[in-house]
Amino acid sequence: MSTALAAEPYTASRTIAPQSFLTLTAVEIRKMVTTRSGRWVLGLVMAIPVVALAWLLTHTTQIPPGWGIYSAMVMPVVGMAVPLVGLLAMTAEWTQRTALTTFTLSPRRGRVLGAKFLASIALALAVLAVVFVVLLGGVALGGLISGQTPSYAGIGHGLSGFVVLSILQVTMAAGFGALTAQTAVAVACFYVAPTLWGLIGPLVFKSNEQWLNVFSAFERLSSDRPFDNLSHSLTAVACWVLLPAAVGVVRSMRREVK
Amino acid sequence: MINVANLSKRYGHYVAVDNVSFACEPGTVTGFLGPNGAGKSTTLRMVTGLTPPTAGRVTIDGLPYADLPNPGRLVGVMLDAAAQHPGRTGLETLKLTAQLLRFPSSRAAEMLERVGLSDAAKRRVGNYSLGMRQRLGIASALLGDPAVLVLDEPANGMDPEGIRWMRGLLQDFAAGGGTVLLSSHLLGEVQATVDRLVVIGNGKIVAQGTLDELLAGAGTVVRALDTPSLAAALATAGLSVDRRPDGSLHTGAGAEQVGRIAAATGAVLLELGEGGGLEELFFALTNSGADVKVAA
Repeated sequence: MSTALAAEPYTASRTIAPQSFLTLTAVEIRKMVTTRSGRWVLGLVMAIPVVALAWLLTHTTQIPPGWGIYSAMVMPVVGMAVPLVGLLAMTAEWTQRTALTTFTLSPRRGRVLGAKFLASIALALAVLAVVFVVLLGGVALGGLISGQTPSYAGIGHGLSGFVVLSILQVTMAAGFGALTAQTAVAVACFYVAPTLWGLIGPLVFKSNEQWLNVFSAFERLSSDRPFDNLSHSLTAVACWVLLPAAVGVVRSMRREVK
Repeated sequence: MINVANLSKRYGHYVAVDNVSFACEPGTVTGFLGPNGAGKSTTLRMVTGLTPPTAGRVTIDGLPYADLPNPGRLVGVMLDAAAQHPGRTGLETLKLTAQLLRFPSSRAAEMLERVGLSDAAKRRVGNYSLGMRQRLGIASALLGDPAVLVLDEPANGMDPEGIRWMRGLLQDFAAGGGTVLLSSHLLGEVQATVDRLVVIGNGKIVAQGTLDELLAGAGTVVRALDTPSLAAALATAGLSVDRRPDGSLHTGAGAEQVGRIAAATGAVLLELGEGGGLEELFFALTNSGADVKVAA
């Protein structure tokens, strides 16, 4: 066994470049697509438009190929499934205990959490872009198969609307993930709680429930008239998206890593 | 290199770590010992910036851990080998670390090779044994070519070959000027690996120093054909004698003095040696009385 060697004091830490936020975000995106659960969710999201298109393309006589009808059938489902990736990115750190590794490699947790939100949104948008291209191809193919001229009306607005919608939904899902640190609880909060509110709210609060109806708010904000009932929309978004995300970040910063 | 100064952690009224101070120097392996719940893991979590201390501070290379620009480049950490995502392959796990530490992607395969996991590179970590996860954790800790290693129970779950490999790795690392702080329950392993010891019990440091210093005061163990008469002879000479459950005697005196007394009284000795190793010291220091009987 060696006794102490007279080693030079190691001072290289002053010359090491700090982790850039871009690197953190790239690493977080990579984490989401390299786990089995992440790949399942992404595969599922990609399968939805493919299956839906297969059905639509065999029914072109009943449903004439057009962007409006095709995207209306596919995008809401995709939009609901994509945020799961962000939710899993938050909860997996705690349920799989990888927070121990993540936060020793990057002890400034706020930056990691910020990178996770950004990475979730970026990945969701990338997935949506692919789905968009698939849908466009589907509409064109439908035109070829049926011999009709496909309609692309509403495509510009559809694009911006879904971008807004996915940013909101992904932030909401990731916020619930950070808040609860439990996949099952976060999924329940994300999918079930707003629906419950949509059912119970009107019975109890009558028309006042609109202040907290996040689905209506998402619908308005992603529609072609995003500023209708803006105070309702902003209140609902603040309550269901911003508040859980903010409390979730604070809790994750303080949560004891076991 | 690692400087722990007056570190304390309270959870409500419970004091997990109480005014702990020690330092780890380059070129040494420091063993951090203590029973379960003594505060080892809490201390290591404070060293690595995971848990904020209630009082005191820790610096590594002069900086608090959280202020290190890219900690993995200076400090290799493995606090729990199970803290790897089971749904990711071993290779991909290391590629993520390499990306974060700004090493080329090829570094991941190199590190797997170095810890003997090349054959399992494409398997998911969920299918790894605990020993394999320990190796993966070591690979991850060493990936950034650090100057410091902080390891919690690194030999846990390893087979004897793995334990020997780990010992060689840590001693080589220290011989190259590295600083190692490791906790372990495997006392024999600690005795064979470390240069310095920090022993903690109930959140307080109960002893620290070089292994030789701490074991020097361990006294002598002696076994004779006629134990009772040797015990009487030792007592007559003014030594305090304990009879141990295995029939041997333990005394605070040195081997030479015991041997002379035995020779003078004509006692036939069957065994004469240093008063037990690290295990005895550990139990004496940490007052785990119940465990002594089990261990003996």
